[in-house]
Amino acid sequence: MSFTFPKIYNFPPFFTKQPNEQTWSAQRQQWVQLILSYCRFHRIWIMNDRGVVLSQGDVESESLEDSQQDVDSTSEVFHNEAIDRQLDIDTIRLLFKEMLRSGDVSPVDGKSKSNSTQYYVNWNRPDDWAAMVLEWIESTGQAGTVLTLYEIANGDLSLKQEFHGIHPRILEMAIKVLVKRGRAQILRDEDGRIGGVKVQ
Amino acid sequence: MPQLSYWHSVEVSAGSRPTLREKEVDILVEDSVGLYQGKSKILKRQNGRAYLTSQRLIYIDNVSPKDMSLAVELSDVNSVEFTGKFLRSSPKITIFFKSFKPSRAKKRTTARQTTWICPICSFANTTSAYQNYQDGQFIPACETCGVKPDKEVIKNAIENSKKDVKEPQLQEQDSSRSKQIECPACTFLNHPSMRNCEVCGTVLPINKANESTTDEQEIFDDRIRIETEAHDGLDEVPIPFIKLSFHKGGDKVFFQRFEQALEKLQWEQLVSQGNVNKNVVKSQDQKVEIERPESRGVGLHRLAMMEESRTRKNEEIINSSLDDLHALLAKANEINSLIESFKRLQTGDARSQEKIIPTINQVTQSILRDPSKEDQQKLYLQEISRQISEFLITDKTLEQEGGIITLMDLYALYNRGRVGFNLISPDELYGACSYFEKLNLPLILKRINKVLVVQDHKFANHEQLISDIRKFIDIYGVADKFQFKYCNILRASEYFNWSLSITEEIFNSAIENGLLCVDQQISGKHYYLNEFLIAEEQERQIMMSPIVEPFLATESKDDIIPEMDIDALKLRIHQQKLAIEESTNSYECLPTFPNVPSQKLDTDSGVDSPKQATAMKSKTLSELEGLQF
Repeated sequence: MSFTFPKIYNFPPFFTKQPNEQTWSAQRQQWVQLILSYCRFHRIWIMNDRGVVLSQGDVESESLEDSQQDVDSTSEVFHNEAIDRQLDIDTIRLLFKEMLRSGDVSPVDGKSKSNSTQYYVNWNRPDDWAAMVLEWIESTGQAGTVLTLYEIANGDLSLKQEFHGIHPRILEMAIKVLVKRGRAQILRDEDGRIGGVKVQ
Repeated sequence: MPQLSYWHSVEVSAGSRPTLREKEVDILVEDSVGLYQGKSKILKRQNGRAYLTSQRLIYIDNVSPKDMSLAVELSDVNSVEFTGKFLRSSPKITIFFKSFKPSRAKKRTTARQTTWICPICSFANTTSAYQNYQDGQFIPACETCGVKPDKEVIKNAIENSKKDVKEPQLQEQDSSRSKQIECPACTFLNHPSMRNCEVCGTVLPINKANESTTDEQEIFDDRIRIETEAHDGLDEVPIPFIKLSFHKGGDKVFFQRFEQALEKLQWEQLVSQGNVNKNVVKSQDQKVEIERPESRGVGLHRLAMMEESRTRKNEEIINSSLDDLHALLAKANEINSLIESFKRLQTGDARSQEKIIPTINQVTQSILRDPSKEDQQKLYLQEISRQISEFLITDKTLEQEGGIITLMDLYALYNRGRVGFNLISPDELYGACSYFEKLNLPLILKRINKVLVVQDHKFANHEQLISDIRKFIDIYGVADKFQFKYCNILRASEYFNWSLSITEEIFNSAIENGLLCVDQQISGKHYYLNEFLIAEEQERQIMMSPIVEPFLATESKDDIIPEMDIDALKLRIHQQKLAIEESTNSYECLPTFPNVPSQKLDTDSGVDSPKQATAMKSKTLSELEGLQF
C-alpha cells in the first residue's frame, strides 16, 4: 500500500511559493497537512530543513547518526516527478519555520532554538502521544508499575498501538508532558538517562 | 417663431468636438458661451463651447452635445459687432448675416467653383470656374504636387460643372429627389439648405429646382429646433442677426480673431474668384497715425502725453516682435504640411503600411486666448482629452490595442499622430487623461498595480477583466497531465490583443485578488486558477457541517473539565481529525489505527458534564477495542 497523494500534489503551482499572501497561507496549510500525513504514513520522525528524512520507521536504538542515510536526497514529498516540479529549499525552510511556530515540528537540538536545522515532525503532538500512552497504560492495567521506555515503544503489549516503534526522543517528550501534569515519574539511571517510567 | 436658415447642424465626434472639414482648422475655442437669436436667448443653448474655425462658427453644447450643437458658416456672416459688459449682462458679440438674395445672385454668376482632378496625383483641386484660362500663366497648379495640368483638363472640368448646374433643371419634375443636392465630388446627397458638402466640404451646385419652388426663408436645416425664450424681434430689422454671450470672459480676443477670420475668408474668396491680380498683396489697414502734439502742452498734461507715447512705442515693439514669432509659426505650419505631402510618397515603406496612425487635426495652445491663465489651461487640457478620446475611439486606435493601452504607449502613439512638432508633454497627457471622467468620455484612466493605463469604458470593471481571464483559462487553457488548466502571458496577450506588459499587470492583479496562482519554473510562468483557495473553501464547508459543530461546542467547555480528562478529549480530537481527513481527502492516513465512523462520534459528542464525559470516553474506548482486537 502506498501513500496516496492529495489532488493538490499534482497541481504545478503547489510547488511555487505564491506571491499572494492569502493564497500562500492556504498553500502553506495544505503543505503542512501533506507533510504531516505523509510523515504519518511513512512514520517519519525527523527531517531536516532541506526536506531530507533523517529518521524513519520503527526505531529501536536512539542513535541518531546511524539512521542518517542519503543526506542529500530531498524527500519525494517535496519532489513530484510526475509533473517534474520540486519545491525549492527556501520554501521548504519557510514551511518548517512556520510549522515550528505552530508546533507541528519541534527542534531536535535544544528547546526553542530558532536556528535549528533538524526537526521532529509532530504528526502527533507530544500531548497526543502522551494521551495515547496514558490510555494504553490505563487500559492494560499497568498503572503504577514501572515501565522502561523500550517496553512502551517496543514491547509486545504495545504492538498494535500507534506509538509502537516511536522515536525514543519523541516518547521522551510525551512522557515529559505526563510528568508535568503529575501523572508520571521518571526514574533515571546512573548516567542520568531515563531508565524507567512510573505512570499513575 | 421663424427659424433662421443660417443655422446648420454639426457633426460631433465621440469626444464631443466638432468634426472639421478637410481644410478647416481650429482658430479659437471659448467655454461658457450662450446663444441668442435676434434679441432673445435660445432655450437649452446657454452653456456651451464656441469654436471659431477658418470656415465656421460652431457651438457645441456642454450638456447635450449631440442634439443641441449647431454652426454658422462664416461665409454667411456680413459683419460682427462687439458689446461690452454692462451691469449684469455679459459681453456679447453680435453677428449680422448677409441677407440672402444678393449673395445667392452673386454666387450664381461669379463664385461658381469647379473641381478638377490632377492627372499626376489625382488630388481633387477646386478653382473658380470663370477664371480666364486662355493665358497659360493662370492655369492653377495642383495643390498637392504642384504640377500644372493641361488646359484641356481644366476646360473639361469647367464644362462639366456647367452641366452640373443644368442637370437639376432636367430633374425638376422629380420633386422628392431634387430637394437634395448631390455633391459633385463625392456624390453625397446633401440637405437642400447646405451650400458646402457635409462630407467633403466641396461647394455644392445651386439647386435651381429648390430655388424656384421654395421660398428662401423657409429653407432651413430641419434637424435643428430653435426655441427662443421670447420674441426675437427679427421681423422688425432688415438684417437678421444672432448673438454670442460670453459668461466667463474671453470675449475681446474672440471678437478680434473672429474679425480676422472673416477678413481672411473674404480675401480668400476674392482670390479664388480671380478678382485679384497676381502677386497682389493685401493692404494692411494702416491706422492713420494721429500726429502727436509733442511740442504742445505743458505741465501735467504734457507728462501724461509723454507717458502715453512711451507706452504706445512699447506696444509697437512688442507687437512687431510678436509678428515675427507668428510668421515663424506660420512657416513651421507650412513645413508641417510639406512633411505631410511627402508622407504620401512614402507608401512603398513597409513599416508605414503596417500601422496607419491617423493624423490628428491638432489642438494646440494657439486656440487659447491666454495660455498662461489657469482656467484656460484647463480648457486646453479638456480639449486634448476630447481629442484623445477621438483618437482612441473614433479612429479605432484603442481597438487595435485590445481595449487597453498603457499611458506610455498612448503618449508615443498620440504624439506620433500629432506629427513633428506641437507635441504635448507627458504632464499634459496625464492632465488631459484625468478629465475623462469629468467629460463623460468613454475612457478610463486607472492604475493597474504600478502602471497607468487608459482603458475603454467597456472594460470598466477590473473584475470583468479578471473573470474574462478566468473564462479564457477555463476554455482555452492548456491542460496538463492532471487536467489542471493553465496559460501563459504570451497566449493571453495574443488572445486579448493586449500588450505584454498590460497582460502581465492584469495577471498580477488577478494573483493579488487571489483568483490566479502562478507556477514558476525554468521555462517561464504558467498561470493557473487558484485551486488552493478553492480547496480551502471546500474544507471550510465540511468543517461547518453538523458532524463537527456539537463537538466544537464541547471543546469550548474545556475550562470546566478537569485536567485528567483533557487527555481523553485530546485523543478524541485526534480521532476526529483523522475522520475528517479521511472523508475530505480520501487518502490513506493511518493504516494501523482504526477510524471511528463519524456517526458514532456524533452521538458521543453531546458531552455536558465531566462525569458523563468520562463515561462516554470509556464506552468509546471499549467500542474501539472491540473493533480493533
